[in-house]
Formats: sequence, structure tokens, C-alpha cells
Amino acid sequence: MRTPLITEIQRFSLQDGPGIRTTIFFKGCPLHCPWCHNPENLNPENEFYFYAGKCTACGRCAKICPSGALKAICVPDKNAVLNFDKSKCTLCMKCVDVCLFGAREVVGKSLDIDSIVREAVADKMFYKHSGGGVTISGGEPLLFPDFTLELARILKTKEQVHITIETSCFANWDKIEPLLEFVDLFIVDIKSMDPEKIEYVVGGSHKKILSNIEKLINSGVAVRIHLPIIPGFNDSASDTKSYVDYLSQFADKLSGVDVLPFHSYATGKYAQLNREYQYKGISDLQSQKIMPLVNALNKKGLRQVTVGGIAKTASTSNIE
Amino acid sequence: MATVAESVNYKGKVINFPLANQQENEVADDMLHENLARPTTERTKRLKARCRWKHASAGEFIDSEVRAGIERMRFITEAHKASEGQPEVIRRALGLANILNKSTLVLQQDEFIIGYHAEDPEMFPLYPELSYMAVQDYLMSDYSPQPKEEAEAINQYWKRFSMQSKGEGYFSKEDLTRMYQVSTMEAPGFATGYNSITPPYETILQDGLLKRIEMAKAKIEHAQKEMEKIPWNATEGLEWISKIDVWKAMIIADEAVINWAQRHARLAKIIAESFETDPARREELLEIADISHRVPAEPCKGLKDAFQAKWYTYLLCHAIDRYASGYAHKEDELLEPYYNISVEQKTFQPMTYTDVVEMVEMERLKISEHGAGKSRAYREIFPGSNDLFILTVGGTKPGYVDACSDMTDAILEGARNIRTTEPSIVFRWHPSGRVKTKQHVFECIRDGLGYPSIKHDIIGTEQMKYYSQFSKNKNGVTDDEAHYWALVLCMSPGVCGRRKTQKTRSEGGGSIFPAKMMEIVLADGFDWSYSAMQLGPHTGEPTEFKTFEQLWEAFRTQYAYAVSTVIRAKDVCRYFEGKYLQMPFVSSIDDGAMELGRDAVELSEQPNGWHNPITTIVAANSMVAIKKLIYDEKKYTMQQLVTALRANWEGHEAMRLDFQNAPKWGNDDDYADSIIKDFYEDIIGGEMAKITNYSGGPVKPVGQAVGLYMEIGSRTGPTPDGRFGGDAGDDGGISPYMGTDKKGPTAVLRSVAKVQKNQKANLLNQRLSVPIMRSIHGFSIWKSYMDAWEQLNIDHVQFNVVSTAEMKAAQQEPEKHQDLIVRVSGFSARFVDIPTYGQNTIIARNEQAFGANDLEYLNTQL
Repeated sequence: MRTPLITEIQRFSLQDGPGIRTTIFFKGCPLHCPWCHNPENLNPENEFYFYAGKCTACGRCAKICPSGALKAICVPDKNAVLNFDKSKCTLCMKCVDVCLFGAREVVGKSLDIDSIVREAVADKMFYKHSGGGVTISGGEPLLFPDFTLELARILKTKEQVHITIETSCFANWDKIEPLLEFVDLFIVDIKSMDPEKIEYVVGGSHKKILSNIEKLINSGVAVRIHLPIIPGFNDSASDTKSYVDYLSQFADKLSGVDVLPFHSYATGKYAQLNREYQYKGISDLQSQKIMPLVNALNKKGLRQVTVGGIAKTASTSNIE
Repeated sequence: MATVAESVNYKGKVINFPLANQQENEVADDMLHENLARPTTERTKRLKARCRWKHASAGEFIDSEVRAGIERMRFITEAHKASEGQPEVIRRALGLANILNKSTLVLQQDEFIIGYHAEDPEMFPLYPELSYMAVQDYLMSDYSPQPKEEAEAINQYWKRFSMQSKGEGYFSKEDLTRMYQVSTMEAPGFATGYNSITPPYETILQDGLLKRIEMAKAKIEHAQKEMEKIPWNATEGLEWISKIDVWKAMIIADEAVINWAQRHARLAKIIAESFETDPARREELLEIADISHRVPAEPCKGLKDAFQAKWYTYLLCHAIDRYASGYAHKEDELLEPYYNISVEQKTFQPMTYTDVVEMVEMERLKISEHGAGKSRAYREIFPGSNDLFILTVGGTKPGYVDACSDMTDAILEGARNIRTTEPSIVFRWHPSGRVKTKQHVFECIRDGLGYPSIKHDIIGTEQMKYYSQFSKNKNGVTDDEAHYWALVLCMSPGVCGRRKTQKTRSEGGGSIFPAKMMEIVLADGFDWSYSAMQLGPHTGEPTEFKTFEQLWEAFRTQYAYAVSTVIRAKDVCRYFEGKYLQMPFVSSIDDGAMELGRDAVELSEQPNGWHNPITTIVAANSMVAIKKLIYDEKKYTMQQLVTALRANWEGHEAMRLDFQNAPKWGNDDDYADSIIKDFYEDIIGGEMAKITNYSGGPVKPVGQAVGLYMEIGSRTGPTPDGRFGGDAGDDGGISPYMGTDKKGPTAVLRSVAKVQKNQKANLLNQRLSVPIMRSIHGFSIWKSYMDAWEQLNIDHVQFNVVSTAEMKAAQQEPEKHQDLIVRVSGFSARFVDIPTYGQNTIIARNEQAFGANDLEYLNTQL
């Protein structure tokens, strides 16, 4: 069974399904959306963050680096600065271990399934009050189908919590179908309705994704659709029309649609991972720009269309 | 532009949290709180604008006009000299009467609730009979009463009568010197004059003083008949003497109070008839005159009566007869019957709901103007506020039936509208509490007032029942009476009502400081960093501790010594208070004192012993780090630790980081939490529970940190939790150390919920994200958080909803941020009036962003 690294088990999540939730983030994704907001979850292998603001250039990391990727450079009359040659780095993490100042941090931990479950159900009481539960997210949980299935099975049969999976649905149906027994809600991203964009920009199969979505809907399980709206990629009038045309077929079956406008908050993470960010400098998408899409979806009778997508909590939904 | 909480980013989504109030979109983040005050009427707007706050910062008053008055100290001294030879309790009554008969009255423009405790609204009275040292401190300051020579002579006169001179004789010099350091133990109560009380307002409102005088007269008559019985029996008969004196004193006090209120009535009438030109105000002054003529002599007939009678009683109990901090009463239930008469039935003093909200705002402004003649040390520990004033609402009636009413809502709405730091409010949370009222509670919190703080209704009610069984005269509260409680000061609950309430400070708030104890446990009880003296018992060289258990027991010895010494000082003080600082007025309005002919200070019916460990978490985190790194993993030796601490970690940076990175409280971490649970239950609460105090009951810990966590931090050397010497202590009794809770608000609750035995009143601070709380989802998120909090059986929680941006802006330009209020431990304070050191500890508290805890670094430009 292939086991994912876990980048975070985030308690008190409010945006990954209904109520107060704990979200488990798997590291690794088969797609490569250039705007990805969680770039640390793309690569399934270990990585580390580097927080330049915390680095004192003490040189401990350069001293210990066995591959020569890190070098301290002394600039006359200034403090030492570090030179990092990414191509030489073997990700041995020795530099992280010796850092006294928290400037280097490993992204992704190897956790056994029992520890994941223990942490995931620690807030069970909050789930009960708010109608929340556990969300398995990433990355792409379906990149680790057996592990995802085992985790969902334990959480559902032993812990009886509400389970949500956030996925792109880019996987073979035979990896998705067994999950139906344990998962309460699928939140599925649609990145574009244009098969070529999906294939050449994002790196998936449009046909497979849509076929899986339709099978999910027809199975009767609850499905919400996420629509990330990215400037220049899928924010044109024809994109809007294609979304509305497609989703309106399932107006009475989908639990809801969350429209997610592009924002630039991932800029820092790309820098900390020492990666190029193609969307650097692109402004956040103004909410007004997505209102035509939201209005059109509402008009077609789709339920619970939100911008951003936070669900109400169970204890108070009757009084708002 | 306001920040709208679209800042959560996980899995590539932006979550929009549109503001509940769209107009706020135009308000800059760092000016938000300057735009939230909205006084209900033009009158309260004017009253707020001219309010004379008595805030202090680092011990100095912010308003340079504020100073001490001379009248009270002059009149009480005059009476004391004139009454020599009379029974002490009568002398106390004559002292109060002399003040009330001769003091200058204050009646200000726009006021409806009238009455002040000094001769000028910029002033506050002093209490030479309580604390010689506190008065001496004023004499040496710019706030000295004038003429200063007279004040000096008065203070000199009282020196030989002072509580301090009486109490000190029963302590060794060693113990006294240690207490006066205020670093492991607070200074003894007989030196500070600090006090608290829960006045039995109910009798004033329901009976009126004329009836109380009749009751005392009947008691005296009965006593005299008993004494005259033939044949004479001395064993019974002589007991009546002290009782007759107590009842006589009550009558003297009550008649003086009626006279004082009626002087106010005449003043209002004279102004109305001879000076006031505005016909509307003239009418109002005549109504004020009518009210003060009737109350507190007669029972209250409507809501305006009740507000005024309550205010007079407050002044007497907290500021004129004696100084006492606090504003303890269950205000909504106390006023509800009068609300029903005036607002529902409109049969007397007819009012609308909005009129009541205005009345609440006016009452809050009276408190905001109320100054206390506290000693310098006590001004330092309540930065940014006048004093501690905490009123209580919500909760349940017998049978756990919801006690919330429209009066509750009016109190909360008035508080939100007028936006003052004081009085603070406590809301007793019970599942049966109505949602409408909880929404009002939320709106105050969301607006960043820092109050209401929330107390667990069932825990508090059961505590009243628990203490009842230890009653010395077998007359503790009944199960029904146990439901009627309020917080006496920040955190400790106490019953309200016609009798059995707490009358003096022996029952609460003795402070001990575990962080400093942790420091000296690692030096055989010696304080090397601050006072250079043996500060506690010799508990052995730490390098000789072969096991963690030996360290644990050494700490226990230090703690047990400190806690017993502090509480002994409280009770010794109470002993002398009962003999020399009687309160005949309070006795007259307490059904127990009236029935038994005993002074309210001396009589104890319901034990309520809460005392106050502050900076417990620094000590607890230190224990965890030592156990892990020295005894479990053996990465360091105790000798290395002692060496590093003596160097304030200098040259031991890698080691300090190891100790700092050891598991910390508040992260739902089993390793840390299991040690800290034991630490609380076995030592902090366990050692206290072994004590029997004045009232015959055990003592429980109540972590109400006030500003002491800063004071004590500055006197505490480096500690094994990785803290540097001089850094602040933890800011709440059971809150995680600032910035060390990394897993969000649910993990904090889960850690806190693990501590259950031997202690159940502990302050928990949480800082919440402004944009999310102000969004349309704010209430629903907060409500489900609170429901889980309730079920986790946690005693208390309070919130700061203030952005870092606004606090930093306020540090830059304080004059623009007069309405920025923050929660400091047990009370709310005006942010700009807090010393920078304290401001920084509040900014350092982790802002619990409800699901976007990495928001800060995501915005960092690299």
C-alpha cells in the first residue's frame, strides 16, 4: 500500500466541508495546475521550507551539508549570506536538523495510520455540535487510493464521523467506487470544460474526470463542485457558459457549487520552496468578476451556490 | 478599507467571509474600534465625552487632573477622635455618619443616576484606617490630597491603629520580608487594604432602610427584655451586649444613609427650582429629587428607583464606608422585577426598552468615572482601567431554568453601544440560555470589548453547593440559592442575595506565583535573580535530585509554604477587621447579620475560599521540559540547566531552543498535558485543598492573573520552559503561554478540559480573528465553539477580537485609538493606557484564525 506523506492535519477547518472539521492534507498530486495554491502538496516526496526572515546566516547548515548544495559566502563588511544550489541538494534534511532558528522546516511527515486517526478524531465533540467531521484532502487523495480507502473505512466504521474527500477525480473509477461505502461527501474540482486545457496545462484527462463526476452523482452520494476561477485561464464568458451548461444538468442532484476566485496568497510558499511561481504579481480576482457566473448558476436552480464556500454549522443553521 | 476574511487558503480556495455590517467595508482595519461606539442618545454621547476616567498606566494616572480628596479621611478621623471610649462598632457607624452628613455632594450636568464618593468628580477618597502604606504612597505623589500637611497628620494619627501594625505581630520577620517582595507571594492583606464584597442589594431594593431600622429596633427591644429576665443568667445574658451594639450601629448608619440620599434630593430640587433654565431638565431634576427622597429609605417601586438605590448602595459598600474592588451582583435578575413594572406593565416610572438601554449606558459611565484610592502596586496591576468592576448576567434559576430576560439584553446592548472599559460583564453560559441573548453576548465580543467573559453555569452553581456543606453555622446556601451567584471579582463566583454573600477579601484572591517558585526550586529556595535572599524553605540542591519525583516534591514544599502563608495573612487580617473595621451599614442590609446581631465582616455563613495561583503555566511547562530533556531523554544534566539559567541562557542558545521546543501546554499534546494535569490537580489545587480558612471550608485555586503576570514576570529570572529572565509570565490561570499554542482553538480547549480535579475556576484567554468574527458566519462559528466548550466542562473563557494591525497602529498614535479595548486577564482595559510591555504580551497571543493559522506567513513578502 502506497502511503502518503502528511503535510498538515489542520484542526478547526471551516472551509473544507460543512461545520467544524479536521482536514488531512496528503502530499502529492498527479496534476500540475500552474496556479496551485498549495504547492507543497504537489510533489509526493519530502521537501523543506526555507524562511528567509528567520535565517541568521550562522552557517551551521552550510557546514553540515554533505552534497555541497549549501555554501556560506562572506561578503566584506556584511553578514554572511547563503548560496543554495538546488540541483545538488539530495534532500537529506541535515540542514533542517541543525538549524537553531526554525528557518528550515521539513514539509511532509510520515505518519502511521493510527496517529492520523487519533489526531483526526480529537475534535469529535466539535463535529457533533457543528455538523462537521473529517476531510481528506491534498494534493490528491486518489493518488494513494488504498491508503485513502483504509483511512476512510476506519474513520467511518470505528469512529462514525462524517467524511469528506476533496479530489480532482482524476483516477480510475475502480479506485473511487469502493470509497462510496464510507464517504459522505465528495468535493470535486472542475478546472476547465476545455479538454485541451486540461490535457496540456493541468495534465489530466477531461473525459475521465467528467465521467467520474457523473458516476459519483448517479451513485446518489452527496457531491459539491468547486470552480477555481483563474485569470486568463478559465474566466472568459465562454468558460462561464460552459460551466453553467454542464452543471445545470445536475441542478437537482448536486449539493452545491463553490466558486473560488484566484488569490495570490501562495506567493510566499513558492518562495519558501524555492520554486518559480507563474502567477507572481497577478492580482487577486475581484468578487464582482465572478458574479455573472454565480448569478447564472443560481438562475439555473443550482443549490447552495457560494463564493468561497463555507458551510453553516449545524447548531445555528436554523436561526440565521 | 476593512480586511474581509478572504484570507483562508487551503486546497486552492478562497473562502469569502463578507462582513455582517457592509458599512464597515469603508473602515480601515487599524481604525475599526474607533467606529464601533454608538451611544443610544445624545445625552449618553455627551456624558461619555466628558467622562473623567481614572485609568492608570504603570501606576500613574493618565488624566493629570486626577487626585485624592481629603474630605473622607478628614471626617472619619474627626469622628474617630470624638468617639474614643465608645464600642468599636459604634465608632465605625459614627465615622460613616460623619462622612455622609458633612461630605460635599456632586450633581453633574446630564446625569440621571446621581451620587459620588468624593468632593470632586476628579477625585477619589483615601482610607487611612485601612492601609497606612497606601496613603503614604499618595502623600509622596502628585496626587496627594490637599492640604497636604493635614493629610500627613491624619495618616500619622492612624498609623498606630492600622491593620498592618495589628497583623504584623503574628508573623516572623522572615515571612514578612518574603511577602513584601511580591514575587512568590503577594503582600499581606493587612498591608495593602485591598478588599472585595458582594453587597446584599436585594434587601435595599425590596425592604428599604426604614424597614431595616425597624427590624434593628425590634431586635434591641427583644434583647433588652431578655436581659431583664428574672432570674438573671449571665451565660446567656451577657451575649446580648455585643449584639445590642451591632444593632445600634446599624441604626446610626442607616439613618445617616437616608439623610445623605435626601440631601441629594434637596440639592436636585434646589437646582431645579432656582437655577435650571431648560424646562425638560427641570422636570427631570424634580423626578431625581422624588426618587432620592424615597430611596433607599423605602422599597423601590420602579426601575429608576432600583438603579438609583443600587448606585447609592454601591458607593457605600465599595467606596465610602470601606474600599472594596468589584461590582458583584446578578444585575439582570436583581432588576428584572422592576423592569417588568416599568417596561412591561408600565404601572410605575413607565419606560421603553430603549430608555432602559440608555439607563444602562448612564450607569456604565458612572462606573467609568469611579476612581479607587488603591495603592500604587494595585494601580500597576490593573493597567488601562479604573479598578476591577465585574457584573454578572445570564445563567439559571433553580432547576436550571434559563434566567435570561429582556433586562439581560438591555444590559448587553447598552454595553455594546457605549463602549467603555468598565464595568466588565460575565455571562453565565447554560445550554438552556436563550439564543437571542447569546447573540447579544456575541456582538459585544465581536466588537472587541473583551467582555462578556463566559463562565460555565453548572460548574459555578455546583461549587456554591459544595462550599455550603462547610458552613460554620450550618447555614450555607440551599440548592435553590446556589443558582443565584455572580463573580465577586474577575473569576471567583460567590452567592448573591439577602444573606450569606462574601463581605471581605479573606475569602478570595490571595496570590501566589508558581513561576518564581520554579525558579527558586532550582536554587534551594534562594532568589538569585531579584531579591538575593532565601525566599522560601530549603528544598535541596537541584543537582542532587536523582528523579523527577524529587523535583516535584521540592516544588510542592515551596508551594505549600507560600500558599499557607498568604492565606494565613488573609485570615489574620479578617480577624482584626471583625474587631476594628466593622461595616454597620452592610450588616444592616444582610439578613444574617440582622438576625444574629453580628457584624457582617465577622460573620461567615457560606464559605467561598478562592485563592490565586498566577503564572502556573510557566512553572508547568518548565516541569515538562525538565522531565523530557533531563530525566527521560537525558539529553542534558541538571547541572547544565542550572548553569544555563544562571547565564540567562546566554551562550546556551541551542540548549534554550531545546527547552523552548519541548512540548507546551495548549496543544492537546499527551506528554505535556498529562504532567500538567497532575501539576494542577496534585499540587496547585491539591495543596490548597488541605487548607481550612476563616470560613471553615477548603480553598480552591482561581487563576485570575490581572496584570500581575507582567509584574511577576519582570521579577522572575529565566525558567526552564525556555523563557528569558524578565519576560512576562503566562497571562491567564490556565491559558497557554503566549504564542505557544500552535494547533488552534479546539486543541486549547481539549488541553484545558483535561484538568478537572481539585480546581475549577481558571482563566482562559483566546484571541480570535477579527475578519472571521465580523463576517456573516461569525455567530454560527462562535456558537458551536461555545457549545463544545460547555460540554467539555471548562470553567471559563474570554476573547480578544482585535487585530494586530489595530494594536500596532494604536501604539504609534495612541490619541486616535481611545476606544480600542482589549482583554487583559480578568478585566478589560483601554489599550493605549497599558504600558508598552503589557501591550506587547497581548499582541503576542496567538490570533486563532479559525482555520487559517498560517495566514500571517502567507502574506509575508520574501
